[in-house]
Amino acid sequence: MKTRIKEYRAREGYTQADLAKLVGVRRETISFVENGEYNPSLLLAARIARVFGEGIEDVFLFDEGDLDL
Amino acid sequence: MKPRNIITAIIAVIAGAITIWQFGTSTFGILSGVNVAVIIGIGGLFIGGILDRREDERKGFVIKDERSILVEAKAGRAAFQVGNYIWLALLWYEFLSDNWLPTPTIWSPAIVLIGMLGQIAVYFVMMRYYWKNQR
Repeated sequence: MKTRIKEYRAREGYTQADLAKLVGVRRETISFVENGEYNPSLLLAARIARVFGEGIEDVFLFDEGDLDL
Repeated sequence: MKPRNIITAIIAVIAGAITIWQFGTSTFGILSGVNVAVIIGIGGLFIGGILDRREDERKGFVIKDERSILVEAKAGRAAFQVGNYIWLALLWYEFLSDNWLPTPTIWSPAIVLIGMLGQIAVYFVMMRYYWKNQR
């Protein structure tokens, strides 16, 4: 899974630490989520998307096949 | 690595060496030295962790979140599972050495030390692994 968190952070002028404070997680967690190295819970994903005023699927980009049933 | 952790490691190694010097280089002496070094090392890391968490809290960050709880839980589970195998293997080795195998026996305090050190080592290795690789 890829994310557009870095792009949205730049748009809003947030650092990873700012975003971590806003959504209530550790700084390292934002880094792992941003780099696609950790799949956040639905709640955390929703909080991140809300901070940017976007939908979850705009912030988190699923790879081909990720959503296959 | 933080200077504080380097100092802790140096103190732990020195204390371990002094312990071995005092108890001798028998199996128990070496295990005691390692045990003292581990106790001081973990104590230092624990106190350092508290200081770091206080600093993070003061800056407005949370201390625990969904990822850190998940990593701790997975490392704890791995340490419990692998630790049980370590204990069983040690006890079985002792049983065999006592009865059939011509291998040296380990007396019970050493078994306890080896088992505990093994379990602690597994926990920290798994913490490190999951911290880097938890998806």
